[in-house]
Amino acid sequence: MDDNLARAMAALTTGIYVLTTQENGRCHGMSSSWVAQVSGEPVMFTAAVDNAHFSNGVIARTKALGLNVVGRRGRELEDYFYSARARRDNNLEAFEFELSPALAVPWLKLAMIAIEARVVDSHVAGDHTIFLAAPAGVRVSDNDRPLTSLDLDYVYLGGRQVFARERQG
Amino acid sequence: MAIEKNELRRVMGHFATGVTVITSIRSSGELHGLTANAFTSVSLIPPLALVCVDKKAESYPCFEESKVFTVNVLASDQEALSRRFAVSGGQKFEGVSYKIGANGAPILDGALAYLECKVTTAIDGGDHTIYLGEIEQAETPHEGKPLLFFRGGYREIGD
Repeated sequence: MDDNLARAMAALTTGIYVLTTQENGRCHGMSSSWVAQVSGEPVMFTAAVDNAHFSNGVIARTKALGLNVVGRRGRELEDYFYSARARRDNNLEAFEFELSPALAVPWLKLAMIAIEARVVDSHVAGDHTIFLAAPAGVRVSDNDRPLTSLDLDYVYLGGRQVFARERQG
Repeated sequence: MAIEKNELRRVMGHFATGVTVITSIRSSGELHGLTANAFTSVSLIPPLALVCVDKKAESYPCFEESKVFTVNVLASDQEALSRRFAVSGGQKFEGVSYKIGANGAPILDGALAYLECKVTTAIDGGDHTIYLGEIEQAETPHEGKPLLFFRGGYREIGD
């Protein structure tokens, strides 16, 4: 990837999330930052998931996902789901979680907010798929400040390109 | 368990984002711009980004007509610029320093980064339209801290 492009994409500040799935009792989470609000009426958001990632197929089949908003006090979630330890199926046993009431997707206890959402549309867009999702339930746990990409010492783009962040000021 | 809509909107306000001004140009040459925090990268190969535009926005017809847009990533000292482009009406570009990019859309002076995009797909997203754009050119012309937005307010790093 062109260096200018990588730096420009890295300049887009994002929240830090853990996308969770559950299929046949197997629970999975992945670190995610390519999430955006879409619509206020009805409320919808998008999540872009790598076409090669394990979660992509599960979300496509189950039409459901959990969006766990990581706060500063829950940073260990990002540390774990970004690490090599998390790159396997059924990878949630390190954290307390419950299955959401309507869609049975994992809600992580350490997340400041957890959302269960139905996938209403999807579009393959390059090496990722955009899942358009409508919340079916929420759990607010903690009045924390959301963790952002700027809080991390590294920049990862689409789970592939990683480089150290140049600190400003 | 049904979710109360206002509560749901409040919860969604916990998404932390940067702040951008999305600019475009009509075939008539008229420039348009709006403040947006509903944007994200989408793909590396090819490089794609998306932006969501309110169907009621004054600039919406421009985005429907134009096949290009530019994402201007605002710096922490550009809150006034964000507020200017967040409201309808008026001459938004009057007194604003900018240059015209390769795709014809304005690039705002002082932005930390800009991404010039060509629209590849428009997707219906409720009261917004999702414009998916291929990033044709990108630069980071300025160093500095980004402007942030969450819980309904502007923030800086460290808040």
